[in-house]
Amino acid sequence: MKNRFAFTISVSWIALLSLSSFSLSWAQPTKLTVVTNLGVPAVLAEPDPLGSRSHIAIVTMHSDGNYLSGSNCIPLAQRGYRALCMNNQFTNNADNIEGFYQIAPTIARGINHLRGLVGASGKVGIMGHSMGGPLMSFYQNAAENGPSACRGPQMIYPCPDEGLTNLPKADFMILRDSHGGWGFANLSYTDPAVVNDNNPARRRPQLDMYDPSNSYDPSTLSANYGDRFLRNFLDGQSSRYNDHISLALDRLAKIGADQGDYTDDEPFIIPRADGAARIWLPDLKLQERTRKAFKLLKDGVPPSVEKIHSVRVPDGRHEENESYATALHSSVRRFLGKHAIRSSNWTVSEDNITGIDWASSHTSTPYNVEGISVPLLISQHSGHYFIVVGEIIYDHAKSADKELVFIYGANHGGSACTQCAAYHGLPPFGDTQKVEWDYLHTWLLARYP
Amino acid sequence: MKRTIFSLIGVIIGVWLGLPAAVSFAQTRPEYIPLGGGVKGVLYRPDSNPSPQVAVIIIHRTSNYLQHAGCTQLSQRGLMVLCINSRFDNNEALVNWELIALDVKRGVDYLKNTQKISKVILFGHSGGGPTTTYYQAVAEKGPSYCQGPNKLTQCESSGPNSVAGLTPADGIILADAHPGNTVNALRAINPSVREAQDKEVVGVDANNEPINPVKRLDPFDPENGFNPNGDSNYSKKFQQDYTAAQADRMNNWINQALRIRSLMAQGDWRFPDNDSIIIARGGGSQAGGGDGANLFVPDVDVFCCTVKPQKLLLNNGSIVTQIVKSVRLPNPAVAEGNEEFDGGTKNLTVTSFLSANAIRATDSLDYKQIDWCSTNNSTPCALQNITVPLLVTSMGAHYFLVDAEQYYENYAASADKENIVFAGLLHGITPCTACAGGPYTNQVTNYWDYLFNWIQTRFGT
Repeated sequence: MKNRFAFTISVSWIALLSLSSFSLSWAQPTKLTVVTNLGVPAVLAEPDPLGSRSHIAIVTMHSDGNYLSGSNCIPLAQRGYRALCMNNQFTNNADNIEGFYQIAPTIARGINHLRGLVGASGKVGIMGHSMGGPLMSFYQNAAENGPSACRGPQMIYPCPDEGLTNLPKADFMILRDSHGGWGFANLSYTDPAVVNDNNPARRRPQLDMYDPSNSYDPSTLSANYGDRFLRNFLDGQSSRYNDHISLALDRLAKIGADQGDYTDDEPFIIPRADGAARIWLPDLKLQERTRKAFKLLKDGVPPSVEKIHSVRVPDGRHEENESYATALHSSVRRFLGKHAIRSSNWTVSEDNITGIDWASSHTSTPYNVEGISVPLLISQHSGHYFIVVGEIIYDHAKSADKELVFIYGANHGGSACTQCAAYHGLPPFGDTQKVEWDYLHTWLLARYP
Repeated sequence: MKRTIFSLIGVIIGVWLGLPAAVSFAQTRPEYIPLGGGVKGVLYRPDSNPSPQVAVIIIHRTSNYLQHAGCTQLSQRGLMVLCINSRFDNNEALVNWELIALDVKRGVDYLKNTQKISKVILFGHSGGGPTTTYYQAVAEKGPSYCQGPNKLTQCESSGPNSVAGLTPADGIILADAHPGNTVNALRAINPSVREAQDKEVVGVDANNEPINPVKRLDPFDPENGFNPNGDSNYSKKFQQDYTAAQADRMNNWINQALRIRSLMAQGDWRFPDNDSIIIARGGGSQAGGGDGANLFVPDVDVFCCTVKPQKLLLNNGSIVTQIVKSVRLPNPAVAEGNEEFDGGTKNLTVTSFLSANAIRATDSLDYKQIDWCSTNNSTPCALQNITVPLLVTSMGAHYFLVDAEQYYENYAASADKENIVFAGLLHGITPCTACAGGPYTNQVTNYWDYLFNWIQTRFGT
């Protein structure tokens, strides 16, 4: 959790630095207002004065990050839109989330608030960045389909009905460098080298991605894993995770039979399952490119359509895999509701991810977009590793009006990845923030002239 | 952790320095003020006073106070109010208590340096009491206040987390202040849980059995005086045994946590930096404590009254001086919640437990048997080191009026100090509609008027 929080904050920092650096000659003056009647802290960014685009408004929220700085809303207001940056009841406390269904009513309040501002002729969309992507895609799926969105036959932990009926639908959805889902994230964080949860330092070397004998180089934070190691690692990851799903289901049954430690839930802690055991972090060949050609947006040149290659840097940090912060601190219900996802013989290759049962977790973005019909823009960042995930989300998306674009050289937060340019010997990527926000503006203009 | 802190600092600097000039914040509506270090602030300017000289800081430890009632109540009366959430908002497990002084510092410095406010008053409501008094004690006495061999955790006096050089506030108002989140945890812990029964579930081979409480210490056993349908009636003998056993269980957990901390330092623990501390039936981890096993919640005759006559402000605005008895109602529903993981269990870490949820004692309710300065999360310990004007307020329909009297009578060092109870108000500063002696319909207005007048008399506006 702490890792994710730190990451979110770093993203904001980078984003804000970029905000201050680009030319603002075109930007509309912006007014920020703290909104006090939504039950959660929120900040509304608006152009000042309102203009011809102000009938279009956007709600944005992260699963647990603080959005009150308005950094994800100010660029929209500068382009004429109203944007509501919301926190929720789990901001700064990801551990306590059981499922996105707990947050959906809060998002609904934000949408209703904006609908009240823009009126019947206005449009209200939702936008999710990073883990806000799975959150917002779940919301829209539930808004379009009701509780059935998270009660399918494959779902490990079906959601309750409460709070999921008659949610106001958004008119469009934007995903920015979206995660594939919380369940998928934690599966890919899980370290299969751990032999015993009570003694995580004891490791199986043949499954240790940080063992130099498996090609990991601590001096460059990089690796070039062989096929056999990859197969064993991913099988081990899947096995460890599925074992914990089974344990959690067993404990849930005991709780239901009054044989648990507590009457409602139990603590559920998995060492080295919320940190840095992502196999692709040190190995750049994994998730390196898309399978199909998509629009690549570069600063200062017209968009091109091509297979997208990630320009990220190797970043496998073994020390981050050892701290308490990278243990998954959860409860039985929270683990099953938010973290659990099934996998079988799963693979991560240069251009694909297979073997994930996306429909087993309501946090899966690919699963949720199958239930969404409104216009969808997916904007992924080529300075990060959600290249392949972005294509999978796109392929699963039901929307007749859907588009996937990539921001060349943008890191996860959206600003230019200077490390990436230096590492790959590329020229600077320019103002990637402006490229992305301008494209969002263009996309909205095309649909809502 | 260090990376988190530096990242957070970076964010705020970025937000504050990096926002384009074209962005303007509304001047007469609440403004979000990113204070740095993960500290969030909302500034409420008084519409009626364009050049305020006095400002109030409202902060808790973990609760969201960005929209606390005092933010609007006091700004409407002409004061600037900065409502703050600490870096630990919404997350008790994240608390590293000694650092919270640095979060208050950001607010004080912002008001003094950016808003050019001449007088800053700290308002400590509920868990904000330990927060504001800890800050002020350190600001007045220096880091030596929060260091020493008797402390379960200590502050730092050098480096990035140093609490040296804090600017003291000019006054403090306590509102139904906790004597400490630590003491709350002590009073909430259920001593009928057998030792080692609340181990956590770890690993695929784990198997924990249901908790089987010790009958003679079970506060929710009718044979011990519990009434599931109304006011309980515990015997004096049970009360004494119970409150002593609470201290025993707390001390046991302290010893376990200290042992883990020591083993971590030696590199002989499963994590190098921290670990979970999960205390079954220890009261919830959320602000407010969840469903604790405090004896005085189901039995309103326990911890009921002031010892001496104290000032009591009535609904008609008059003040009488008398022995004050809380008009609070019993709440037997905590029995069910106490068995739950969500509402009845402390879900902490070694750091958050030792720094903000642990205190040494031999009895949970006897002030003389609590080692108040074994923790830095302790209002009675801090008040002995604070000299600025102090207003102690408490709510007549809650139980902290007993603690408030203790602060005023036995601990506060301030020469200018006052203690007053507001009849019929609940802990959240709202009227109790079901309590005896009502109605209390004027009390919210009375409360904020009284605070405003106390501030105006001493500091102006």
